[in-house]
Amino acid sequence: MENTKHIWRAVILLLVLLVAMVLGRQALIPESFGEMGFYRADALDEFMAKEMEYGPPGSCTECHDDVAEAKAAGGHAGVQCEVCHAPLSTHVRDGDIVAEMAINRTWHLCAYCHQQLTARPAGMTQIDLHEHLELGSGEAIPEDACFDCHDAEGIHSP
Amino acid sequence: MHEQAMNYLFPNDLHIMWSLMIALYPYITGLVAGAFIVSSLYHVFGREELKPVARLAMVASLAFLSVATLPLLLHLGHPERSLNIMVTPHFTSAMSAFGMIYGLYFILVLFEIWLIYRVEIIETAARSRGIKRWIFAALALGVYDTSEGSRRVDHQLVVGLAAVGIPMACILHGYVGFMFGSVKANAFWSTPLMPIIFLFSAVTSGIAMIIVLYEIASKVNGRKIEGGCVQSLAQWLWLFATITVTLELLEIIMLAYERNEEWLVVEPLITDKIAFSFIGVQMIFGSLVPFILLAIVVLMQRYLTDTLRNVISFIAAMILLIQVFAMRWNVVIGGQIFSKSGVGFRESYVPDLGGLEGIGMALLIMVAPFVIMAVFNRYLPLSPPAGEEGRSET
Amino acid sequence: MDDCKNNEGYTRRNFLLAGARGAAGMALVLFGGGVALVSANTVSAGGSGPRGEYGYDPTKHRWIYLVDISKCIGCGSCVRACELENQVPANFFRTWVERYHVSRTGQVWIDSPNGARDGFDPAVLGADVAKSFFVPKLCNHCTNTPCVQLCPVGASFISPDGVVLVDEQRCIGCSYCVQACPYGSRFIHPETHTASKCTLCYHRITRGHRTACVQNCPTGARRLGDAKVLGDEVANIIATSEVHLLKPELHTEPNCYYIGHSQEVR
Repeated sequence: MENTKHIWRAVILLLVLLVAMVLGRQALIPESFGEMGFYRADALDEFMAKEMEYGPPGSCTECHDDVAEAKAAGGHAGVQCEVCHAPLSTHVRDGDIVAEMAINRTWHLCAYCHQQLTARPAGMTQIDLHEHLELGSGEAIPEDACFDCHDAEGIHSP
Repeated sequence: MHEQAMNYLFPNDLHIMWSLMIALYPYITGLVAGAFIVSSLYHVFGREELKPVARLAMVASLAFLSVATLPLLLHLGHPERSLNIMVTPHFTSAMSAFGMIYGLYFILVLFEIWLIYRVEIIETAARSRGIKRWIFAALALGVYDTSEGSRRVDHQLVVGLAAVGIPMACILHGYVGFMFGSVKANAFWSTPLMPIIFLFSAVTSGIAMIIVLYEIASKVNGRKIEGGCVQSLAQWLWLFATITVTLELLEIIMLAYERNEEWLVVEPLITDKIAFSFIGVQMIFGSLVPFILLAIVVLMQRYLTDTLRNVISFIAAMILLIQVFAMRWNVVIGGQIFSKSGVGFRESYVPDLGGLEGIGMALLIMVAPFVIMAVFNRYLPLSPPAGEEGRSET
Repeated sequence: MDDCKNNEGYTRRNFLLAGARGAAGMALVLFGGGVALVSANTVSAGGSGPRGEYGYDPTKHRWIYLVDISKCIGCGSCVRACELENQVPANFFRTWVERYHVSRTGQVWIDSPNGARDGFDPAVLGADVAKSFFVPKLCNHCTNTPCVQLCPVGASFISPDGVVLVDEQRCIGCSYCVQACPYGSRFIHPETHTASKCTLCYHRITRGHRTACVQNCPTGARRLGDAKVLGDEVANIIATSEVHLLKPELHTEPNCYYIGHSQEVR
C-alpha cells in the first residue's frame, strides 16, 4: 500500500504503548488482589490485626473479683465496667498495669444515663438534677454533686 | 408529609466533599467535547462555513483535554494512587471507566491533530535547524511523505476519526453526567436526564467557547472575522442552548410536579439555598438573556451588520459560558448543600481563594489551555491553511 | 473528497479500518483484562480457609446487627466507645445517636449534638410532644451497597462475612462513596485522606468478641448476631418479629435491622 508508511508507524507506536501499559498494569496489581473478591485480601488480615482497646467481658474480674461480685448483684449488673471507667488498654496492656484506671467523679458521667430526658424510655431511672439537688433553674450544678452522697459501693451496686 | 421544624443534618454531612474542583472538571470536559463536535461539524458533516474554526476547535479540545485531569488530581486524597483506577478498575463503578474513556479519547484527538498538521510538521522540520528540527522530525515519526497520495490518506483518516470521535465525545461527557445521575442517594442528582443535560450543555459551552476564541484570535492577529462562520456558530449555539435549558427546566418541573420526597429538599434548595446561582445566574441571566440575543442574530440576520452580529454573538457566547459553569456549580455544590437526612441544609459553600482546591488554582487551570494553545500556535498555526490546497488539506 | 472516492475505495476502507482497529484493540485489551480479573475473582471468592493470628474463617460467619429503639436511653456510651476503640477523628462519626421529638400535630424535631458523643441535654421545644425516642445509627453494611458498587479501584469491598470495609492502602480518596451512601455513614478521614467508616469492629468480632458499641451499650439496645450460627438469638428475632430497615425504598439491602421503628426516622 502506497503512502501509508506514516500511518503504520503511528499504529505500531500505539501498540507499543498499549503493551507497555498492559505489562505495567500487571506489575502494579497487589499480590493478594482478587483472591477473595475484587479487593486486596490481605486488607482483611490488616483489619484483624488491630489491637483491641476495650477488653473482653470479664477482663476486670480477673483482678477485681470483689467489686465484680458486688456489682453483679446490683442494678448496674448489665453495665460493663469500662462504660463508666475507660477502655482496659488505658490500664492494662499485655498483662502489665500501665496506668491507674480512670475514675470520672463528675455528675456528667451519671447524667449521660440518668439525666431526665423526654425521649428516654419510661422504665429508666431519671433524675431532674436541679430538683433533686434543690437548685434554682439557672444555678450551675457542682461538679461532684452525685459523688458527694453516692459512694463507690453504692454506685457499683445500687 | 410532616412539617419539619428543625434543620437536621447527619453528623458526617457537615462537610462539603466535592469542592470547586469537581465543578470545574465537568466544565472542562464539556468544553473538550463541545469543541470537538464543532470541529466535526466541519470534518464530518462538511459545514464549509466552519472551516475558519475547525483547527482552532480541534486544538482547543486537546488543550482542555490535557488539563482535564488536574482538578481531579488536586481533589483526590491520594493523587499518587490515581493510577489504581487503571490498575484495578472496578467495572461496576461508573468512575472506573474514566481511565479507558479518557485515554482512548486522548489518543484519538492526538492522532487526528497529528494527521491534520502532519504536512506542516514535515515542512517545519525541513526548514528548521538543531533541536527544533529533531523534535519536528520525531513528531513526523521519521516519515517525510508529503505526496498527494499521503495527504489523501490523512484526510480520509481524519474524517473517519472525527466521525468516531463524535460518539466518543458523547461518551466522555455523558459518562460525567452519569456519575451524578446514578447516585440514588442524592435527590438532586439521581435522574436519567442528568447525562443528557450534561451532554447538551457541553456542546453549548464548546460552541460558545469557539465563538469567543475565534473572535479574540482574529482581532489579535488582525484577521477578518468571517461573518458566515460566526453566523453559523451562533445558530448552532442557539439550538443547543435552547435544548439544554429545556432539559434543565424539565428536570426541575418533573420533580416539582411529581412531588415525591425529593421535592422536599429540592424546593428549598433551588428557591432559597442556591437561588442566586440557579434562578439568577443559570436560568435568567445565563439562559434567557442569550436566548434573546441569539434569537436576534438568527431571526434578524438580514438587518444586522457584520460587526453587530459578531458583538451580539460574542456577548451571548460569554454569557452562555457562565451559564454552563453555573449549571456545573449548581449540580455539584447544590447537590451537597442538603444532608442525606433529607431535612437539613449546610451553610452555603464558598471556596477558598488559595490552596489546592481554591479559586486561584481554578483560574490557573482555566488559563493553562490558552497558554498551551498560544504555544501551539507559535509552531503550528491555528488558522486554516492559506487555501492553495483547498479542502483536502483539512 | 469526491476525487478519491471511486478508484481508491478499497485502500480507503483499509485505512479507516486500521485506525479503528487500533482504538478497538486498545479498548478490548483493557476491557478484557478487567473482565478476566473480575471473573477470576468471582470464581475464587469464598474459597479460602482460616486467616490471621486467631484462625478466623470469614466464610463461616454472616454478621447482622439489631437496634431496639425502645431500649435506647441516648447516653452516648456507644459513640464514646467507638471513638476510643477505633480512634475516630473529632467531628466525624462511625456511629451516632439521633433524638426525635414528634408533636401531636406531626411536627418533627431531630437533633444529634456532636453525634451524641457527649450525651443529650434536656430539650426545650415549647410544644406538646406526643412521642419521643432515640435512634442509634451506624453503617448498615448493605448487601447491595452503592458505596462498594461505585468504588472505582476496589478499595471498598464486602468481606465474605458481610462487613463493608475500606482498604486504606488502595483508597484514592475520591469521596464518591461518601456521596453514594444514603445513610451518611462514610467520611474522608482528615489524616489518612481515605474513606473511613464503621468496620463492625472487625478486629473484635474476628476474635470472638462483640463490637465496642454493642459491648458498651448499658441497656442492650444494640446487638450483634451471626446469621450462619444455628439458633442465633438475634437472627431469630429478625426472622420472627416486626423489624424495619432504613430507607428500604433504595433497595440497598441493609444488614442492620431496627425494632420499634417509627416512620419519622430519616
